[in-house]
Amino acid sequence: MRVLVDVSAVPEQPVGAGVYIINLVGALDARAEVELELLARAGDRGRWRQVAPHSRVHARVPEARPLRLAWEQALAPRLARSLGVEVWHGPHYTLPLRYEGPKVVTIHDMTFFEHPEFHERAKVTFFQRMIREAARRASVLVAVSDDTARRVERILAPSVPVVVAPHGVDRSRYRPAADEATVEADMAALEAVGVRPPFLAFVGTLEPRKNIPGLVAAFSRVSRKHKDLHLVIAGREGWGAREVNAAIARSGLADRIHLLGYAEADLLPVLYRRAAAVVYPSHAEGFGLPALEALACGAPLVTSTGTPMAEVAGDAAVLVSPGDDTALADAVEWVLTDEGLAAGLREAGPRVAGRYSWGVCARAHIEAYQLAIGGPG
Amino acid sequence: MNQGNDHAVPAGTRVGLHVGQLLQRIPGGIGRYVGILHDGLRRRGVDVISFAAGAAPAGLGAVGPSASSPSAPDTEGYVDLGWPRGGLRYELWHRLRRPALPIEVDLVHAPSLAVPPPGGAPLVVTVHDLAFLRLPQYFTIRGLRFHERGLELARSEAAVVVAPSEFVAGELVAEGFEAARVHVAHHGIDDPGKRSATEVDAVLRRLGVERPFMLFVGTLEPRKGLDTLVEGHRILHRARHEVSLALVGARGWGRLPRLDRPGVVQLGNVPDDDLDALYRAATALAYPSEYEGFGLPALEAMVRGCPVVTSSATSLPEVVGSAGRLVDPSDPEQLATVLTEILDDADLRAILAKAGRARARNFTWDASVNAHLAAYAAAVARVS
Repeated sequence: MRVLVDVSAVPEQPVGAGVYIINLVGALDARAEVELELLARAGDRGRWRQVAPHSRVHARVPEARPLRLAWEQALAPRLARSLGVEVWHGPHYTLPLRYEGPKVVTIHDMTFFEHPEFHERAKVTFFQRMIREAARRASVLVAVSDDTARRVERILAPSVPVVVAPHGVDRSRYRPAADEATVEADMAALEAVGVRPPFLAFVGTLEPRKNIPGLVAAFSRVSRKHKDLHLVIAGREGWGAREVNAAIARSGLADRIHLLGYAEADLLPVLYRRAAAVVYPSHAEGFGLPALEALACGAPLVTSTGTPMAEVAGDAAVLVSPGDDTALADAVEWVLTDEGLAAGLREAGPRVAGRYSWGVCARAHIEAYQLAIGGPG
Repeated sequence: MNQGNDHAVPAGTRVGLHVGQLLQRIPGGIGRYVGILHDGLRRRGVDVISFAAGAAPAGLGAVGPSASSPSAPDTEGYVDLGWPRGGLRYELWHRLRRPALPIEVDLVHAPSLAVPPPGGAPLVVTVHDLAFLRLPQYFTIRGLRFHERGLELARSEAAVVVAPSEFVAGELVAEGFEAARVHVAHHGIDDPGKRSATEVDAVLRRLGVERPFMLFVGTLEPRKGLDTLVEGHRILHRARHEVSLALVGARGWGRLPRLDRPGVVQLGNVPDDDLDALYRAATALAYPSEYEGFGLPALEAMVRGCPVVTSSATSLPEVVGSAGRLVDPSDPEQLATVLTEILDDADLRAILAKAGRARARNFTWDASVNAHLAAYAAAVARVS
């Protein structure tokens, strides 16, 4: 099966959707039944060569976003035809609308419709239109969680199948510390970024949807009792990061809050493993990959009810209604003081995370591709 | 995970396949896998030399289009290793790595964690699950030591490890196996064809099972979620006296809930034909297992249009996808609720039956044999 995956939306410092695309492509590349053609940004060839050594990389897409999206619509279909691809996969909301072959598109979340306030206005208009059109023209839709699938069904009422393909986690990297050597290496890695336990960890881009001001408020409540506790925030500044900085300034705890910026992949498992708790209080997510990564590392997790994170974690996390800062502080306090609870969560997390892998994710995509082509099934 | 790229196994490769599982008191799902793999490889013209310590097991069925009688055991190409037999031989294999195999082969495949010394040949080991690491409380000390030692041998000696699901592959990677060494080969399922209602009814009468009933299939042992199953049925049975629970499977070991209770029918092991009828007649398969490496009963049910209610843990979501209903394996209330929904809603039953049949078509033994051949090819290539 010859599949074209448009990987041109993956930024240099991937999070969430970008991590999904890289790992999906890597897992598909290893499968004998799939021949991959990757459509990448010009200048991004090296990375994809490494991610997918058995695939062909077409590094032809312009760098700048408006040009990139225009190129996808105008020129990409001809390239796909000339390569003889059987199915086109747009892994990040968009498709070349005029491409007439079988098409699969991944929808990550429906917040462009449900929570436009969490996005830049220009993006909202574009993505709302694009998602509607893509859903209308795609042969099959991929949703990254049951939660997203339900929202897609409700808002777009698509006439084509919706295949759920949950994200995975690489458990060779995201795992509990098994031995003394790992613990020592972890401590050295933390030392290098100026962090010392005990700390709470948050991983994610600094943007309104992530509810970081709520996290800072909760931290400032628990920090009164836990004088040596720090808060580590790992993520690049998105739009609206100013509010985060203002919240930190207001808290008067700037000396105990570490803004690490974008954390390289090697540092993430260390943060999850060594955190007293990972707190991920997002208002809305399509999947919420940091929550799964934290569970795989055996971190006690506090996250939001009514989100895909709650679905993934089940009983392996403490759930809090997003926006309720007092409840968030109470939940964190509970994890910090109830050793039995924390130990139970540390034990349950890896077990729950075990059913998610990029291999399972790739298999679900192959089913979606077959469905789109009209093959067996 | 590595799926191998489409190299073929070099022509003339002789594969030594350990079939000792078929001589076990309860061959179980692994026994079925070994028999089908053996037959499938032979059908592809692979030169298979099967071996175990004992007389040729009956489970090695007809092989190849040339076999004249499909039910006669094929003893050609089978080597009886002789004494010592059974557990003692496995102890010697695992502790001393001898006695050596008296066969000349280019590759040795251990389809379970009884790992023979491969001599100089590349070794392939199938790891069906890591339940012994994750739920050690459900194993005897002896069983634990045996599996741990087998896994260590797989880690230190196997050129390639085969896992029956992405879930188990992930478990292996989490235990430090390099992803490139782990191949996934899903189990498959054959199209069972059609069967008349009269035939199905006759089987039910003979077994003393009355509709409507929920079906459980699997060795009766603690990790299969029997506590949840029996309690879930008790809740259901309180409101719906007519619904029984039929348990198929040999009694394994360990502490089990009381099974002699109202509405519970214990059938023990049943012949394949009877099991086929039970799947066709059951309202649903109730399979709330805590840990599976694959979960063949779920697939056997889906292919026959029997709605599947199984647990949201381990490999089971990967097998049933969205074609079944997933429940928390520790929550009997939820199990009872979902079973009641299926019982009361004919439309839902029809939707699940259709989705299950469609999903089951994704799992063929042909594809499984292909994946094994790719694993063999990779093993030969890694070593040579």
